[in-house]
Amino acid sequence: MINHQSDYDAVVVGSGPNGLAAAIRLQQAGLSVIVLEGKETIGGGMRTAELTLPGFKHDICSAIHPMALASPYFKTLNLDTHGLEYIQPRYNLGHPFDDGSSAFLDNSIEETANSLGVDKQTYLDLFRSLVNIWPDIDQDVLAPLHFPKDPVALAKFGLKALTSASFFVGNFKTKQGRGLWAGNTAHSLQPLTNISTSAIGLVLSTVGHISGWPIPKGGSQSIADALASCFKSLGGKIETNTWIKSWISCLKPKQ
Amino acid sequence: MIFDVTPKQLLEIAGHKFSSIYKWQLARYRYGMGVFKVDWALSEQVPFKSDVCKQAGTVHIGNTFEEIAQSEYLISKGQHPEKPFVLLAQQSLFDNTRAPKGKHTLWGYSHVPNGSTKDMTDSIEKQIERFAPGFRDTIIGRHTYNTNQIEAYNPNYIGGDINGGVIDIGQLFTRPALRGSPFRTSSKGIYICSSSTPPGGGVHGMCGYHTAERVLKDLFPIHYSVKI
Repeated sequence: MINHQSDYDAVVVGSGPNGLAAAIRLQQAGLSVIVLEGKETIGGGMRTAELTLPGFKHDICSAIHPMALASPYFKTLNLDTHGLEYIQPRYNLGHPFDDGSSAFLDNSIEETANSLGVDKQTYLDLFRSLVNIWPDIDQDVLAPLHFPKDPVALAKFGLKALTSASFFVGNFKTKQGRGLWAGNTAHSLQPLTNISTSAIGLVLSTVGHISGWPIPKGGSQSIADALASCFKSLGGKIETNTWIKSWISCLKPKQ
Repeated sequence: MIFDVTPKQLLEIAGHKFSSIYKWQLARYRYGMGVFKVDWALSEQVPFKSDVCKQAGTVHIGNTFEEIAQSEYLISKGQHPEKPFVLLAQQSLFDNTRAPKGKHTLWGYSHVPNGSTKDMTDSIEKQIERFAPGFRDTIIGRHTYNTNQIEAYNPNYIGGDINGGVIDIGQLFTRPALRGSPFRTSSKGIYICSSSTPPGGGVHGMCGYHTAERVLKDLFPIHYSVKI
């Protein structure tokens, strides 16, 4: 199939969230772009299928999407007009303990803090401040290293984010506050004694208080489908069943 | 050419186009813990003891900070904890398109050492049962992926690593390699835009967006100024 790629200004290999985002941005700028996907369906880590029984639709990889909703770039794409609908659960997160109690992350900082006993004020101070500065730093946190738009605000976040989760947990006294922190920082996929493991916990909680931890209606595939619809509406082209495993000279885009 | 793949596949596809230093940098790129993934079909919702968990989109199973920290520590040392930290998502509680009426789906995984093929199903279900007695009786269907199977499904999950490489301090800003721009390779016109570039894993598209900006600045400066 791949014999006419030199008709395009850019060729993107892979249709995950980053491949599609790159393709959309280039197409928006007026380039002609083709996305090549190895599998029958697009989406990378955003796919949904009946893995168990008929009628049961499972998210194969990603499931809950705080970062998709909080993404500074996706926000500009009006993906709702391409059929994407986010559902907000009653609680973003529940965290049960052996004694039957539980901690939770609610959209409201106050409601979350109220459940944390003596950690209430610590939690309120921490996340009110981060929620406040997040709009000034989100583009800088979610970017390669560069000179930030608001260095003071970024430093407020960065000095906390660069600590290890094991160090930062010292701010919390209760089992609930400490457990909640452990669960959120374990998303770092590293031992919690590593420096900078606080970052993911702070970001996930902060965006949880701003825009929630939403569920895409119909499954993660809906995000992929909405991105693809956006890309195609701009004139972009997607070719599935085209697995690139080695260099093919005809992949060279036109110069 | 823009590749939404990790350094391992980029080397396989385009290695011959790169400088020896860049090839060396990509080859020493480090991947992190993997995941063992389970999807369940349930006859009813998970019978959590906690009312909050019955109404939560996501549930973190791991009890205390100490227990979770110990679980993650053991995995980083190549071991499989008896009581793993488990992440659950209960989409069907809030989205009725996911399961037949009255029935439910449950999505979950635990972390495991990179490349592990150990079946974690029993440990994971024991952990859920601990906070939701009777959970096992609600299971009517189950599907699992170990790290090999999930990598076979999606080749960007090297050894089951869903973040496209460790996001520790050594690879936070310098993923996949220490360069002027992380998205540029040593070969003109070839770029990498996957979660192996900043800001890393997760569905946000920001790696792709920043790669596209780089491509426009480098190769299509006239287009770069086009307003979006």
